[in-house]
Amino acid sequence: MRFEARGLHSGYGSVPVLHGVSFCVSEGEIVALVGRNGAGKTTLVRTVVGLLRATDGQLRLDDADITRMPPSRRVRAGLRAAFQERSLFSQLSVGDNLRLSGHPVAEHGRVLAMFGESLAGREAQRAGTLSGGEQKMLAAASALASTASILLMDEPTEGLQPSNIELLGDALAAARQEGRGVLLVEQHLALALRLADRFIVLEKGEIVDAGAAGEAGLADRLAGRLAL
Amino acid sequence: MDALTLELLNGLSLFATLAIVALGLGIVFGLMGIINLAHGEFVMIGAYVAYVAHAGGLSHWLSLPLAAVVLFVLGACIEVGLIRRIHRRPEVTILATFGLSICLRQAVELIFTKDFRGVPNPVPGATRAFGVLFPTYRYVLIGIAVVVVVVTLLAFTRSRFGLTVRAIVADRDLADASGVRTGIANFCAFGIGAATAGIAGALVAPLGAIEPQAGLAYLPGAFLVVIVGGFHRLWGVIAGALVVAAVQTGVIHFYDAVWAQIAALVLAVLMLQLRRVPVEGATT
Amino acid sequence: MRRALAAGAACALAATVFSGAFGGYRSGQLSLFLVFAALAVSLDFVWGYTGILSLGQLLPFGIAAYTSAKIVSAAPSLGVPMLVAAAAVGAGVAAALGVAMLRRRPSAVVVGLLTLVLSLTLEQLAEQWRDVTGGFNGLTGVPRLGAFGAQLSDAAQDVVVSVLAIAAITAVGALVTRPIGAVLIGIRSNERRMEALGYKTVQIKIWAFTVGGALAGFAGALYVHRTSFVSPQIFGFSLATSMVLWTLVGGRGTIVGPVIGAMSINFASATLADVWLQYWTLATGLIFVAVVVVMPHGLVPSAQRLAGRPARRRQQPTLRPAATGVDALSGANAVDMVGDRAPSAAAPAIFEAHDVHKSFGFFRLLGGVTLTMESAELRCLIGPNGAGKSTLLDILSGQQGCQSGRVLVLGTEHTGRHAWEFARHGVSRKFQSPQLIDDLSVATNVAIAAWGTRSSPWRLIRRPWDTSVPQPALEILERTQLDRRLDMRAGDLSHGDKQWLEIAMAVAGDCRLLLLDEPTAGMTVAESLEAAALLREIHRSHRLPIVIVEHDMAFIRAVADRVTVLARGEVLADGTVAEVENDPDVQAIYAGVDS
Repeated sequence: MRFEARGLHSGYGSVPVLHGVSFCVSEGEIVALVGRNGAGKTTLVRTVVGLLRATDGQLRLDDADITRMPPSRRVRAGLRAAFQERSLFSQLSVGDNLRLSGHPVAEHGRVLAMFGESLAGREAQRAGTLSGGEQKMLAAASALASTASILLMDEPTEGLQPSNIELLGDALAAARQEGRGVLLVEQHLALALRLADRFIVLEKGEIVDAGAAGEAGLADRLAGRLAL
Repeated sequence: MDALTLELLNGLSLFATLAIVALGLGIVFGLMGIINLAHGEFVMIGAYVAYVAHAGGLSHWLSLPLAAVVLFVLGACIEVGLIRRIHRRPEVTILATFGLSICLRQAVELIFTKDFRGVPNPVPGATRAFGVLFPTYRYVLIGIAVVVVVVTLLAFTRSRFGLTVRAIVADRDLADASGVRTGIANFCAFGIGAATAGIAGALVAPLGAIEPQAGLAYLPGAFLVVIVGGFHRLWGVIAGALVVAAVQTGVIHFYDAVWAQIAALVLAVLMLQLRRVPVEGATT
Repeated sequence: MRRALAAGAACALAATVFSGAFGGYRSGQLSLFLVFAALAVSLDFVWGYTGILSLGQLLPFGIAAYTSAKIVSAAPSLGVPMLVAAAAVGAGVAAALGVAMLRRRPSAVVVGLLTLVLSLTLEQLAEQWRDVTGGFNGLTGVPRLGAFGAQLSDAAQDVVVSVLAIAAITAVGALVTRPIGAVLIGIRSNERRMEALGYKTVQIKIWAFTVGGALAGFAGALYVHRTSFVSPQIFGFSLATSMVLWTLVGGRGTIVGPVIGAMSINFASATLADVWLQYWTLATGLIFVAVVVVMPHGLVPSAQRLAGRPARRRQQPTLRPAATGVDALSGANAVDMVGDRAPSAAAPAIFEAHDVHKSFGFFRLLGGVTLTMESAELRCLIGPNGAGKSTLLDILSGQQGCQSGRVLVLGTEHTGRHAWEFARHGVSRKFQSPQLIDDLSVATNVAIAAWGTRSSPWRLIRRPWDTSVPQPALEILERTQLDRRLDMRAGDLSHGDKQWLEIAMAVAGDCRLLLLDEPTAGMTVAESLEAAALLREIHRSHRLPIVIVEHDMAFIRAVADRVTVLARGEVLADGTVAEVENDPDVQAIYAGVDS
């Protein structure tokens, strides 16, 4: 399945944040979206998911126009996100969080085992009592274990220790193998440089640069874009 | 000693009535952020369902589920026709349901006139227990109300639907983005809120006169329960009903029902002083 | 104001002529409905202007009515003085209720419920307390208005009641054309903004609630004379709904609207109810719901919109430069001294935050931040999301308190103070998303900001509309060409213009420290560089200390004297732009290549 944004405009209330953003994510590729704080990354994710209304432009999944669809229908159409903040229901248990994301109880063990031992067997614990990194892993695992064909991962490495970043990278690579498309939103370059097939750079709500993996000098160029 | 037991039973009976009437109010507010000023009218219509069932020769006990069904349908229609259009604007919902309450009262008056109607008590007489005589039907009322409240609350905390509901209360956006159909959940919640009011109405029908204005009498008590119990926890309804019933019963014992209500009001104002609410920014 | 008084006089004359022409029955109806109109206007003042959803506006109305009935029945000659006393009773009831209810800033929902429940409870109390209230049937046979032993005839009383009701409505109508009217609208639409401008919003709300209560009380006394009886239904659900309906249908926040609403619905009821009483009540319910859903602004504003006329023009303030530009920024003058000389022990720092801690539940927002500004500089605050930048600004402007630590502004302890106290001490704040009073014009927004730090309700009634505004605010208006759109509605401005208007408002008060949260959000690259130049200029020419939270490095390079980097609630680095940019810790946080 192929996801496409055409000339997307969006913002909070009267505050415009995105000024015409166009990009696509195809089957079996990982696209890294990088940009500094305040560039509009999270706004982009919330608009794609449907929590913010696009003020202009179009969102498409294959041939279907999903621009006006409510969020829950987009999920059923095959689009799923792991958010950067508030990615879990913190008052509910880990198991309830998984049930809400559509994972039958029988599969909880498999989902929780995705990142080694740290989450295994903790279904009954309240999600809010997990550490920040554990919460990120749970949200990422829940999205990755779903059947969605387009995944949006908003800063999944934030707060994760290096060994778990490795595991996350492997899981994302596996998702690509299965033919799923991933939009990896990152402020930190390390993982993105290792995994992504293509890069787009967001600045002040516009795409200011793009590149493909293996391009000469790409890493330095991106680092320059992100540095102070 | 017997006087005290009697007061306790009176208090328990008041608690059960308050809890079952306030239950639907609490569900609808907790889940949807909507204050339903027409909730008393739902109770009143529940009582009329009991009256019609009786007139049609049905047993009083059958009228309880019947009232639940009728009001679920009515509530669901109102959700689709009205509430959905003004959702997420609390002040507007207050006004709209204010108007709705006039419509419902007047519609009932057009159908049934202003005359007082009644339903005979299905279990007349009194039962002697704990050393005092207490009307049998009130025991039944306490039992059924407690069962309805507890079952509803358990359904909201234990079932898959309840999980969905709690997720929406906790974080509506995240629930949306997780694929939860929040629209359908709202529809069901408003319907269930109305249905519990219907049961409450049918339940109290044999105890008093049934007339179009009857719903108004329940409004102050039910709102006090919700204010005292807090707006965002369903179990708060029980706690609120308990506190309000205790205060009112205590004050009734020494003074009368009006002073009891004033005492509960003072309590609600005091509760307000304890809460710290942030300053609101721009209204959207 | 003059227009309001002229309109009131014309209405009073028309009412007198009407009574003379139709006499008897019609004249009686007119006077009763005008009393209801006064009640609706009192609700409009409290709800439409100030934003307090008081479904219990019948409390002062009814209590004053009962009090008047009791006293006048015992001493008929006290009728006229009792009218004044009734207003006082209404004011007292409302003041007590306001103090008990409004201090903790309850939501509109809670206020609405509580006042409604209170009103319904009073209805029951009045039914039960037979000795005093006469029980269900109430008090009857209240004598007509009189004074000094003489009493009015029925016909004369109708005219007098009509004229007095119109006079009371006119008084409120004139009141809201004064600056206080604009301030009340400000509190209704954005309380946080008003408090950050230095308004004691809770005090003003209680004041407005009291004034509304006085009008309701006065109307209650007129009512009891006009109908010659009062019963518990005066507190009841039915009148409460009607009162809201009149206000809603006519149009909230217009004064004229509720009068039109009350008159038209009542005359329609009186005519139609004879023909089909029950259907008419049902129809009012349906009208109620329909207005809420379809025409929430009510008749008067909707009709104005249909006629293509902008909402009735309110009085516009004229803005003129403060006598001497820099003098107006009296504090900036003091700061100026500090800025020019070496900091001495005698001159206080602009602000000091010592070891500030703030957490929200388990989540730590600030973990011991110490930050000071010794002299008037332009400081930027940067850091990743969740670093605590906005929280720190909130604490420096009193929007939030901190769990431990101290905050000093210009040498004065401000820990735990309210936002309005910070504002009155010279701290001005622009919020992340523009917080303007959308319904008011550009000029009124600026004027409200200029009045904020020295205002009380009484002063706001008397103060002139023309306003002296400090030089920097006028400069901003001029540079952004907002000065050519002074009578435009603030809510209709473009996003960039809203940002500038809010900055102009921030410096329009007694500004001695300016805090800006993401001023370039939503601006293009070119616009944000222009913004940098203008802020730089204001900072330099007025020696105004400024703290800016920003992400945009191009902007920061252009504007900052000094940069502080926050990360995870702590100060990570502090220094010039170049120093911070070359700091390896900061690079690691930002680029993330090496981490």
